[in-house]
Amino acid sequence: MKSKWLSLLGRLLIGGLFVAAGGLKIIDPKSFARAIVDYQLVPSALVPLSAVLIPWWETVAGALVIAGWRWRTGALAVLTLLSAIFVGATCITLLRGLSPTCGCFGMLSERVGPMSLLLELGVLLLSASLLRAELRGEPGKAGSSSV
Amino acid sequence: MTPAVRHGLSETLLVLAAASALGLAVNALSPAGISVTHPLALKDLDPRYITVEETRVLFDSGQCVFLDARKPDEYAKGHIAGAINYPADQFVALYAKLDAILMAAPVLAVYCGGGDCALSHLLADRLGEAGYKRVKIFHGGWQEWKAHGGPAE
Repeated sequence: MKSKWLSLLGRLLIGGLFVAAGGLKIIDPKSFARAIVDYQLVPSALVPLSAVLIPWWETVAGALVIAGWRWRTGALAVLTLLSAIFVGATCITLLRGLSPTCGCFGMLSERVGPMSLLLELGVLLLSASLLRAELRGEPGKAGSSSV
Repeated sequence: MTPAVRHGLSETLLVLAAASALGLAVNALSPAGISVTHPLALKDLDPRYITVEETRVLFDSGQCVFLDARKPDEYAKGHIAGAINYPADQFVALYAKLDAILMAAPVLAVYCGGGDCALSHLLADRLGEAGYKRVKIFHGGWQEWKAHGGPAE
């Protein structure tokens, strides 16, 4: 019972975070495109497409995780994948000595740094844990119990 | 691969496909949407960006201080004539030394290698945060300046 509610809390937290993050980027794709350029990791030709798709992956997957009704496993996998990519990008950027605007929350973003990396690692850990529980069919999985 | 993992993979692809379709559709219909098939115009990315032509006009006017945001060894290999080397990662260290020059300049034009180089952007952001108002970013940078035969040292 306890793990069922912890799972629900985790899903609400991670889903809510990504819906907020994705939503802020959706309303200002140019700012997010600029942030992507600053990371110097994505070829210029792919920047506009990335600036459009990534926020929608975040928002849709986040909403599916919150709803918990269908495709929850896939949604958690998407969020885990995105979290891993963000952690990787931050690590590479910090190792290069750059500190661009994170771009995580659209125009509200702060600069990349150790604190943002810690936050991203926490998000990755949480999403990966929830995904692992889903794949193992633990309490809280869609269809197995009420939450 | 277990059935759960296989199922998870197919759901992942479904989520990505659905989100992508939705995102592209909304982007196409939205007034704030951007073109995904063409690179964004410079001024769309950042209103501070200036072209090589605009940079040359500023250079010829003599009213602009050029700041080279690259590392000192790259600056030493070649830079815009009269440009001051202000590496983006040494902003605080050099701030006191350069403040008087920067405050007196009508316009500050920041550049780095060009193309995907983001150092000029970082320096421009920090200058903006420090209160310098008229900061421009020469997006094409040293590569484009050299290609256009701009005065160099």
